[in-house]
Amino acid sequence: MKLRSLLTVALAAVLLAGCGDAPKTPAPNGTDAKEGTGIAIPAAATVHNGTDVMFLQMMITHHGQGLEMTKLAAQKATRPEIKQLAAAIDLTQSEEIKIMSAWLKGWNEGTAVSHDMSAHTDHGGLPATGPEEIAALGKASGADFDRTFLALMSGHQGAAAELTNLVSTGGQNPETKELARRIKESRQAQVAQMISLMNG
Amino acid sequence: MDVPNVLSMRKVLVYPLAIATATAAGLFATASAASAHGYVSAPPSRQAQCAQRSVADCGSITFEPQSVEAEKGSTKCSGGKEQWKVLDDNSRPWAVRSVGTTVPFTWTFTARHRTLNWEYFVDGQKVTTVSGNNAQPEAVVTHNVDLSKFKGKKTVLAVWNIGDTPMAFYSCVDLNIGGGSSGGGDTNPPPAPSPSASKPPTGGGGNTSPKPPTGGGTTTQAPPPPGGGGGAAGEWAPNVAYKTGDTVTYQGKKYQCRQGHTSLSSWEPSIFTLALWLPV
Repeated sequence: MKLRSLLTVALAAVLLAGCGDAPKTPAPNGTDAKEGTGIAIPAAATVHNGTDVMFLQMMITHHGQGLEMTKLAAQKATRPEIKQLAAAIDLTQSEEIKIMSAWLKGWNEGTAVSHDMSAHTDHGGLPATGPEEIAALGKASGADFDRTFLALMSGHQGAAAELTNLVSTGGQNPETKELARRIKESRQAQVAQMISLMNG
Repeated sequence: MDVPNVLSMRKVLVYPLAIATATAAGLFATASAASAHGYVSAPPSRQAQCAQRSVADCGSITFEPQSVEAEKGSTKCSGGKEQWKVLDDNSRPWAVRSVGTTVPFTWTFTARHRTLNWEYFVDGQKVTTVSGNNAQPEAVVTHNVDLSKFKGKKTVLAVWNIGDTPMAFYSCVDLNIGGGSSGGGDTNPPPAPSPSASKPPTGGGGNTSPKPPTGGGTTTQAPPPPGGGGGAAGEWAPNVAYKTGDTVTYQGKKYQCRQGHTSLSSWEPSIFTLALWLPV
């Protein structure tokens, strides 16, 4: 399967690169900060493995779906608390995407992951949010939008927290692990806020 | 199946690409566990209250309310699993929600597994079964369950039976049936949690402060003078509703809030959260 061969190549590259390289790469690059905020992107060490790469790629994809939902919330949420939470999620995840992309580029890795939904089906499990769920959110309005957003986003962020377990056990890059720890903690706290919002 | 390792494997299965990674990396030997997670989030189930930190000392349920998985056929809140036993403990300060006689139960899913059905029980007695048609759940699953046969304080057991595994997910919801409208709030708020549990706001939705700007960057109030505020800023803390323009100190440095939000762990000022907090 082509994914596996890609991964083999990626892992081989890591192995060839070895651990003897300079430990730090000042990571990449102010050019990602497109908004003129002057925000610095934290650097990541060179040392990493295929799990770090895959985690960052998957999280970028996952974050992208989250941003689709927060953009909808900016337009359609009726409760100000939900709009505000969505705006904060939007900003922080946009920033995280820049950071994760810069690290991958610094390692000469792509930022995209091919998201083959049929593969999900083959393995019997499906993620919290995909195109159908986001489309359903787009069609909802009023109080129904709020309810749908909270149900979907609480699952989505819960899934993000779960995904971090991949890198905390199998990853190698210290900054990626630290980011994963932060993602796990902040998403769990967001889920707590969303449960309160659902029931408030 | 035992949980600690199964959990991490199951996580992997949420994304098949991760399986490829794990296999290639030789980290996991098998990849056969089911990927499926969910719980009743409204009204708040017992595990949802653990996740909210309104009930403390729930163990790993606090972090994964979606993972209360056990073999099908149990009538217990824990699904009969030792590691979820806390959910069977009626002496815990579970909030009891006052509801009408028809109650909407809404599920949160972190993975959408094919579904055999959902079942609802009260006092060990089946109230209703909703077919899942062996399909993926809809975007949002809300079941309006008629509980008019019951009155007063009851614990409803909601079960999500998975279509293609022997497993189910269990959620218990404590209700005061006939005690109010379905949209009503808690009439029996739980005792205050232990002080160490940083409790997110409950009931009020987390933020009753005036609506802050949500446009990301628009500021409607004058920012404090940079650097010259004279130490009026408070120390950053979790579960505080900060508004755009608010200033805090954190680890001896001063920061200004760029986007209103209710603060939480890992959203403190840092190099990873410059979108929320700008050093001033």
